[in-house]
Amino acid sequence: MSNQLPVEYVEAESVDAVLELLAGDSETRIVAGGYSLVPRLKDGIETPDRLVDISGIDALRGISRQDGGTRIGALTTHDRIAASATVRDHARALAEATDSVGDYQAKHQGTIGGNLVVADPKYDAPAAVLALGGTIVVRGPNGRRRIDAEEWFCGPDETAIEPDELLTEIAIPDGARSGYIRTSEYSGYAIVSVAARLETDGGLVESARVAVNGAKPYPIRLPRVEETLAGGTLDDERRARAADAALRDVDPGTLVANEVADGRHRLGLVRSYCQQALERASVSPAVDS
Amino acid sequence: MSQEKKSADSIRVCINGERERLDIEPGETLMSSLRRAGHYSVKNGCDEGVCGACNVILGEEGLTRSCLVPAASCDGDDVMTVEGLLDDDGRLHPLQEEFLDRGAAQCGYCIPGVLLSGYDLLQRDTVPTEEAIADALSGNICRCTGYVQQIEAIQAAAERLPDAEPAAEGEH
Repeated sequence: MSNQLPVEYVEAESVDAVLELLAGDSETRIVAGGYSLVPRLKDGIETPDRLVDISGIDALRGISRQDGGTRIGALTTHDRIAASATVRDHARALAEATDSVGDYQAKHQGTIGGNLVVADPKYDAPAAVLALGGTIVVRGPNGRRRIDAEEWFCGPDETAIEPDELLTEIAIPDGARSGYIRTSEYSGYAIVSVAARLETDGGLVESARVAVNGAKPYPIRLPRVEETLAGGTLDDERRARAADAALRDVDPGTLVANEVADGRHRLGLVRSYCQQALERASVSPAVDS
Repeated sequence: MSQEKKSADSIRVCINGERERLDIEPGETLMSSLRRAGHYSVKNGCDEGVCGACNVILGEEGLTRSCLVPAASCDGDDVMTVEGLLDDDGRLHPLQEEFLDRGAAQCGYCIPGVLLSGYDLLQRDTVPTEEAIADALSGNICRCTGYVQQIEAIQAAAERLPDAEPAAEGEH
């Protein structure tokens, strides 16, 4: 039961110290809450030489208002985000997503940064951050880099972060109704999750962003769903047509299929939960931008 | 979070109020180190952060699955295991008595973790609703009881504990 984690363990006191360690020769992984990384180490999915613990860097923790949006530090835990009035008022889909996270301990220990770096199809925050048009901020040897969520999630087990970079915060822009919903397996992980963000003017949708996680191995937007919504009213018929369009947005050949749910099952869930996410977003309070 | 340290071979912790030096093997988790030191109430259930059998209360972090915590990260920390529920005279905590009286434990494997989840909840919420208790137990897997008696036992213990009722409600 021992020797499951790398032999070398370092507690970092500052972002600069982390960057120095990441620039070294050792293959290094960052650990914060441990809920994403440690199970992967135990399964042998990742076998780094060194763990750098960032949980003591308080500058990476917290939620604030900044530049017409909400800024969330990488170390902020799911329960803090879910309980934040700021997030609930300005980025409702993310509040709902973090509130859905598996169980009490995972919510209390797991961090938004770890969730977005690993971006597992079972995770809640990715679809919400993608639908909300979030920006992920990393720091590396050449300074700060701001990455659109759309470029962040770029492949199975892959995000846009480089091995010498640290995710420091995410930024969510204001100004839309939004909502999130998921269906979960026995362990509390999501099977399929959908988040929707609607720019509205009266009863009319000016533009929509809809994202799904758990369909493909990484979160994706649903462009045909978004097109169906744009310029229309927010009625049941429109929502149903938009959800049908989801079936054309997801290539059946690339659906996630595992012991929890096969591809066909997932496709049905995508349609159904797409419709429910749109319902939630349409009844959510509008945000003043 | 003091200074950097690398691959220490032991950590100092305070377990249920007793100072102890725990040997740690390189790359081991807190669960593994605690069990090797004889703290067998910290169960190894799934070893992957799902079942809650290895729950401990770790310093300011509160309720934690010890199978996900690098042992090396715990130097200087307070650790509470289920034995920490006993009072100074070794009497059971009201939570434990209610679990016994209501048949809330069957095989018992998950029970230390469940009791610590219940204890942690009662620290945060002295009058928990049934829903709050179910939420607090969402990170514990019990294959025997179906959770109903556990929820009832935690509720009953909450009623027995001081501060469970508003202060004006009379004597205790």
